Amino acid sequence: MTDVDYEYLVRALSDARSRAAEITVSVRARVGVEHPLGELGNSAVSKIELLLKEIRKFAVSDSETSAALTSAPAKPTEPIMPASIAPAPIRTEPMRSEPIGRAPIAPVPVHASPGAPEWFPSAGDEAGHWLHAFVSDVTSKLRASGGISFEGVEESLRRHREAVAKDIEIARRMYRVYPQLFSVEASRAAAAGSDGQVKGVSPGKPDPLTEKRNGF
Amino acid sequence: MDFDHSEMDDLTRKATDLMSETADIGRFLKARLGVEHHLAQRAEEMLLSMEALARELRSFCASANGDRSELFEQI
Repeated sequence: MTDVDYEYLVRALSDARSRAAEITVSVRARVGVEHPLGELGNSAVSKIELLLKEIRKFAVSDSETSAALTSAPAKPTEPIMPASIAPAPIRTEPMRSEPIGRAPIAPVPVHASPGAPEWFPSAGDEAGHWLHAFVSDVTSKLRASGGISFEGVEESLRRHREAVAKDIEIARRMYRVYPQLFSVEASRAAAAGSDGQVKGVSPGKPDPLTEKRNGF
Repeated sequence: MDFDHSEMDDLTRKATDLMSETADIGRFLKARLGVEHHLAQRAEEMLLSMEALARELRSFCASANGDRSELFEQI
């Protein structure tokens, strides 16, 4: 379904819900609150609300799926770590010989919806920045519902902030466990003359924040 | 029960109009997503609920109007 279809459905159902609620209130005012007609009216309103809610949910998941399909790389390589590693279990399988600079470091975890794969950006890939995901999230909600509250945007921002904090923690953990991977990446970046490496992490040296936390 | 019959007739007409329009939504969803899709089924449930409301309102108004006719005849 297209955005126009969703707009039509949301508008038609919002209108139907208002009209059904108005009819129900009027009927109850005339025949009494206890009359079965009032309950039938309430049931109709709740069915309309349920459908409206499910259409909004479907529209959001549909737009996220479309966005993921368009933003995913043409030949996605296997991610090094699974997306669902929120508390980050460390992989115990042997080290890959594949150059890390060629593969996505890790899929964007928590804030991506299940089944909507996104990828960490390669250097200069603006579309993979958390801000892009946040704006897409807010605009898709806005498109689906026809309006969004300040609290909704704040909640979305909070979730994205938490996701980024977790990503940083995972990256630090990876650095502690697999420092040699970062050396390869850093030397590759240095050779290419780019400055796309992780800020504050110099190749071959422990992360200063990690040092501090570990009491080094 | 004491109420304005013309207002109830008006509410019944509004409910019938709303039922027709919600039927359009159901048809639209079936055409786009297929009859088996859960949204089409939800729309069907919504339509049944609207139909029940409109039918009961018609029935209620018909019986109220019948009572009123009988009352006028008695008078």
